[in-house]
Amino acid sequence: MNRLTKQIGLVLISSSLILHGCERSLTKEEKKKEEEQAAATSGGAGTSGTHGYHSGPSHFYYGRSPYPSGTTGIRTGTSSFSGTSTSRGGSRSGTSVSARGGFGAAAHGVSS
Amino acid sequence: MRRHQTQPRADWQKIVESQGMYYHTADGVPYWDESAYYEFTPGQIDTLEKATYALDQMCHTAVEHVLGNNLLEKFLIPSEYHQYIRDSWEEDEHSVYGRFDLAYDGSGDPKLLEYNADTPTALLEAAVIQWHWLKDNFPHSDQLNSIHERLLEVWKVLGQERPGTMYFTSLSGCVEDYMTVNYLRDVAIQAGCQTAHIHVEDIGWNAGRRAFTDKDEKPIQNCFKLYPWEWMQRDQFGPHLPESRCRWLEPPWKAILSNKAILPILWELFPENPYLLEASFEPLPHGDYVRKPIFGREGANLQVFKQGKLFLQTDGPYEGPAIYQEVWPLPCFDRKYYACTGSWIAGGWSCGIGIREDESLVTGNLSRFVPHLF
Repeated sequence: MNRLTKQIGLVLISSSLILHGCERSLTKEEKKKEEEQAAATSGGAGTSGTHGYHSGPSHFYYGRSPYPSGTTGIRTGTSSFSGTSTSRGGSRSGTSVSARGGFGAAAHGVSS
Repeated sequence: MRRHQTQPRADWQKIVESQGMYYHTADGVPYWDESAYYEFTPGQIDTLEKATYALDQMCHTAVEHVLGNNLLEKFLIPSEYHQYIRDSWEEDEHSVYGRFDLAYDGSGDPKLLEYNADTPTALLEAAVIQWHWLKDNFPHSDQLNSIHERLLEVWKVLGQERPGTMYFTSLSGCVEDYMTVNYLRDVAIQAGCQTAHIHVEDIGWNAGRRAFTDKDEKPIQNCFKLYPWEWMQRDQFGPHLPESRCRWLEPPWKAILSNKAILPILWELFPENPYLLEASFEPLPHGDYVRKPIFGREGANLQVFKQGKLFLQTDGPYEGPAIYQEVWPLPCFDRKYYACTGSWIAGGWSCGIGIREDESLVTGNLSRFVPHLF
């Protein structure tokens, strides 16, 4: 293991991945820029990265919170989930449209 | 094993945020705490590695024992999932990772407090953040940390074994969970996997196709979940798990090892093992024990008894049956800081540690992460 020679080879996650669920979508220009950056640092999704985690842009989140709206920015612990999602069509049983909201209601907070 | 005070890096918040750690502060107090670090000797690092391998081996033996003797009822796992779990074990479904929480003060043998075998977190800080801290502050020192490299190896295997899109899911609204799965997703991408993220609440069930689906109605055939098995089993979609063709990570058999009931089973199988603490499904006769709910998490709902009398307890949402484990206090440093050593295993490799520190004897959700070196 190791240790002295270890090199962390994280590639930058595409910021569209990080921004999943945010209120604002990337503009075409930002998306193009981001894809170029991701390609430059990782060779594109699905290829092994050879660059360091920070070898690319220093702020690949574009200075915005990478988290979905409504998150607190801190460890949310046991109060992180309202448990209301089971009302969202959980009992539908059609063949072309899936029922959703059937997971998540039992949550108390995952981090451990 | 020594605790040292040190000067945090200037703008450390910006530094760790640039590395993906936005949950560095909770209630105005640093969760990522680089005002201190722990120093080990190489011999102590070897001790931790040895203990981790031994515990992993014992855990696999324990799973065989539980399934071979039909003990899943003791784990409060509903009967409709017994065969599902058994199939998962017999098909040798791969595991990604796990974290043994150990009480270790640098002398003697580490003691297993519990095994976070299903949904361990504090991963990004252990694998990435503390490594960069080391390189910035102590470039000539070393760290027990090849977590990232081992995870990369695991995902390379999984990517070849499971072609198609690997989904990553966690609860919406929880930053730490979100970044943990995104870190793992990042590693999977580097390993060549095709990936997608979906909040666990958005996973669909298509009754006609008998399949879990994403928001575009595409079937989910492989999914890494940061969402515990015991919750999945009790959710509305739980009964669909055995009939769907989705393969989950961690695999269903990890529901055995992530359950506190594994602790008395381990003790029954390996009594007097130096890495284990006495544990039972009944209160221990000498009266010094910790009552831990079978499905408890994050140090919640613990009760510490001394000579049969309640000494300390924590609040929380976890009711129900419990196991009883011998009291083994965490080591205390500088007369104030109790340290719990989380030892990571990935793909069968002991590959790193992360120290969680608190002024309380009980390590909880907000206990600080403190880096280490040797």
